[in-house]
Amino acid sequence: MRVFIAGLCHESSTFSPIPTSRQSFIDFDHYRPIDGKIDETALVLNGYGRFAACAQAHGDEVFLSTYSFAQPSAPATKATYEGLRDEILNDLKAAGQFDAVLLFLHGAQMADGYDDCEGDLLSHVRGIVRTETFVGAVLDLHANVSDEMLEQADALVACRHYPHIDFNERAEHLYDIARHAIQSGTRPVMEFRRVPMLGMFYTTEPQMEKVNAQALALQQSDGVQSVSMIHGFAWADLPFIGAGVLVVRDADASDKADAIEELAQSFFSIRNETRSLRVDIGEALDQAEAYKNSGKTVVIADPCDNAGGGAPSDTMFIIREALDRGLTGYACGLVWDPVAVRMAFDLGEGARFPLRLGGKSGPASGEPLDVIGTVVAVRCNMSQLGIGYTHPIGDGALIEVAGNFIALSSVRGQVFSPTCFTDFDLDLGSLTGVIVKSSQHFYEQFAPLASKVLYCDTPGAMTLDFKADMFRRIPRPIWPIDPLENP
Amino acid sequence: MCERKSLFFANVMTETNSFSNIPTSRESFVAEGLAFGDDLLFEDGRERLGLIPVFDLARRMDWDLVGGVLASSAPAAPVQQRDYEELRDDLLARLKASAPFGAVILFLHGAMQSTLCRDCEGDILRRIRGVVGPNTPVGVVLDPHAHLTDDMVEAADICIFMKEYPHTDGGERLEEVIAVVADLARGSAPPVPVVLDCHTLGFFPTDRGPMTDFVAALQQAEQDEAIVSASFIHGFPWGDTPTTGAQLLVYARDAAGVAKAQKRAEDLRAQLWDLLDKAGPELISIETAIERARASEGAPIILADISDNPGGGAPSDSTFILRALLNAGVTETALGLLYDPVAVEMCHQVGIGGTLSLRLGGKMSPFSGEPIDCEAKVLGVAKEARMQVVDDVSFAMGDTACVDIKGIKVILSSQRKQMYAPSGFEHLGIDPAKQKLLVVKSSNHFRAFFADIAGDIWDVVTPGAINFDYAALPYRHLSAQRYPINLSADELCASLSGPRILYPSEMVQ
Repeated sequence: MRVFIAGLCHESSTFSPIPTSRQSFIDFDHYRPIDGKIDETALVLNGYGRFAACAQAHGDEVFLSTYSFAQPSAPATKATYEGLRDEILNDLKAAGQFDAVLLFLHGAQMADGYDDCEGDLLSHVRGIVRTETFVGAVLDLHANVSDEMLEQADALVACRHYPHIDFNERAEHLYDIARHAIQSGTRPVMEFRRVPMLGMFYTTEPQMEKVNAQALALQQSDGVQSVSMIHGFAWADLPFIGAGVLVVRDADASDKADAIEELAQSFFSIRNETRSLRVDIGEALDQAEAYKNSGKTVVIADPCDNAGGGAPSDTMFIIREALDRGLTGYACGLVWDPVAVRMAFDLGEGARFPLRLGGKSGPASGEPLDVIGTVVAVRCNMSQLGIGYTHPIGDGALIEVAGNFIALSSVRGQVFSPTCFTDFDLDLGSLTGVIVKSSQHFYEQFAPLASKVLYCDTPGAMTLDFKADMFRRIPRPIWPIDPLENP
Repeated sequence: MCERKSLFFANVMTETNSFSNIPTSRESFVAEGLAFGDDLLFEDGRERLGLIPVFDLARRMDWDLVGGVLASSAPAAPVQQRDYEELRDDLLARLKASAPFGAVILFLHGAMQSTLCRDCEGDILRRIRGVVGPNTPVGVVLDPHAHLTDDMVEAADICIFMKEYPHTDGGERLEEVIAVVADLARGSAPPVPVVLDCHTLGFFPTDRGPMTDFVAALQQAEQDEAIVSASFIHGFPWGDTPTTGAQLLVYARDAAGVAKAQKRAEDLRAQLWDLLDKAGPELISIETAIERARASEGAPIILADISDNPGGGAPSDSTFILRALLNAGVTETALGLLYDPVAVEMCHQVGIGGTLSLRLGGKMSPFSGEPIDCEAKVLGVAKEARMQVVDDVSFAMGDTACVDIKGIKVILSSQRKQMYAPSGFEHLGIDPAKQKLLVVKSSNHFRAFFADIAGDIWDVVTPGAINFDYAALPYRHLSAQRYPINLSADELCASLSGPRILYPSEMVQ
């Protein structure tokens, strides 16, 4: 079996103030193995590397094309997307015939002139390969699945968990589906049931955990190869936005409409679970104060300013309120502020100085915070590990303001790991609260350290209070903009 | 056996703005220019152009020219103490290693402060004197935006301040210092300094108005055989030190000339006081400027954003003028340089022709004002751009971008840099001569290079970091009486203080 492998991932937000260029991919991850051969670097790239490892294990022949990943932000420029796409397509044209093309994609990628980059890429791939070639892709569960994607791919498989801890597991799963298809000479059939809702659905919460278990049971039933709960990515103004249930089944099995319908109903019924976790700033701080001296810190997520969803990661709403109340023992990070980081490096550790923090990138950033702060620590070239990636932080600085700490970064990114703070020698156990700019990916590594995890709503870019006037092109009715009772 | 003597040269320059919130540390010197030893004397293996007179002196005297430290940083807050001490002690160590000493020649600013020292030049010069002893000639060229202190004058044999603002006469002043140092080395007695406090805070451009006459009067005084040098120290009102303010420093050739030097100083001070109300620029608000500009035609009107001049320690990202221009619907206007590395990077990402939502400026401090949220079109981008000032001088601006916002072209830079020359606009394809209005974040230096294309030049004041309302500045250390904050123009009279003769410490004994 001969397999072509490539990766191209970007979660594109219509509402993000942060532009996306080729440099945005180069700055995060843009890898091209020499002559398409497996090497050590390729093997550790999320999803894509696992495809390669599976090929090695099965003794299959592979060609590894490029792997490109950028931090979520606004749709990329046309030239950026087309350039990255064509690098893959040119390889595919030049590298001979393949039994399978396996792609590691996001599912919510847009670019100037392209609403549906994955649909576009898959249809170009189809145009190049033989009709019998198996084409499949692993997606982020925050995908907006288009008809084009469903038509062009033989199988689409999304990760099952949010935090996305299982990309490699799902890559292996898709590899097995591809092998089975090629060896049996059959092709699977996909069924997709849209669920008209916009939101976030944490798989760490009990109701969603049950829905996920139900999906897994269906996946393990006769004739079914794969079941993916598609959560959708709500910060995109698209006609094919929203959640759904995606089933890959044997072609000769009966359709799974009833089971899918049941799953869609279950999914829709828990739609408010994650949203209802959100508390306002005042309540989050009240609760954190109530847990003071519990020996562990309270983790306050700031999901509305999550760079991982295209937000700027430089709002100061929560820490401003803590300072206004005269509270101490809070840390907040990572605030993207290359200007203040540069000032902190200029100042050096120990210096006390007036600083303007955050609020740097657009209206969604809110007002900057003017403080007199002490530079506690500066660090060059930081990074953190999270959900299978090494995430660059750039240069970082920890600023102390009236007994609280603000961690600054020169590269925009969400918080995955406590090392964002502990690398500055800050002891999280000594804090009342740690405010993390992340929607949910922080959970895996922070939950074990927390006496309590709170999700705080702010006026940031990623509120779950979706309003009709944010969108022009989405299908209606859709929850929560419309008061739907049934999906 | 006679060991060859050294001619030690060093150049330490920063203008400290006590009210700035831009930090100054070793990093700031690294960014702007930090060199040691031969690196500050030679460029591409050749003697640096500006130092040829120093090389010539060394050759004439048969001395070895020794480079000490070259440290230059954009004006900003006091230098972090440890970084100042490191620079200073490095300079002193190199000086010690260069013994035996022929002479010391320095370029210093005169308004450098560290977080614990309000007179870095006095501190450096006293320590240099301590190393070289009383008989080695020490000569210094300084910037007139300085705080003159007794330590500086007592420790150096000659301090000569640039006379012109814009500072175009550093080379001439260096020649003068070299001449005095050469005389001293041949055994002449040191000139005798006379210092006269002018009790005045002010801003004194010399390229126009009555200050050009005042510079001529200084030069006239120097025609007198009894006078070696006459300097007017403008002072730097945004440095908070006990002596902040204008001063006169006149050197008599010898004790016999002191009375003449005193008389000259008093005459010059009287002349200065007479022209005070006419010396400074007319300062207008942005609203007045916009109103006046509506009536103008022809060559561009230049608005100097003097309150946000990075060359005076301001952030260079204030939005007061830009916001007023946008609100007034002004077009055919270009503005620069607005320091905003975040916006520059976004523009580079989008590329030429792209449009994007930008939050512009207001990034550094309350002096920056509020940021402006706008839709912008990228007209030009450049990597590691340099502003060509004259043939052999250019300044780094970092990455730059030009964006159009409702007909106003804004030049953004990733380094804080004063807009000295038209190349700051031209390098991104903007022809400054074709604008109706040009806004430059500079106080006065730009005049040297923009005058040719300007229909008129107006100085605009805003609530930026360089506040021209001196009475509103939060001085904590300034102890002397100063017009206009605690002396009125009528109270300026000779009885306030008289000329002081400062002898080097060993002559006093």
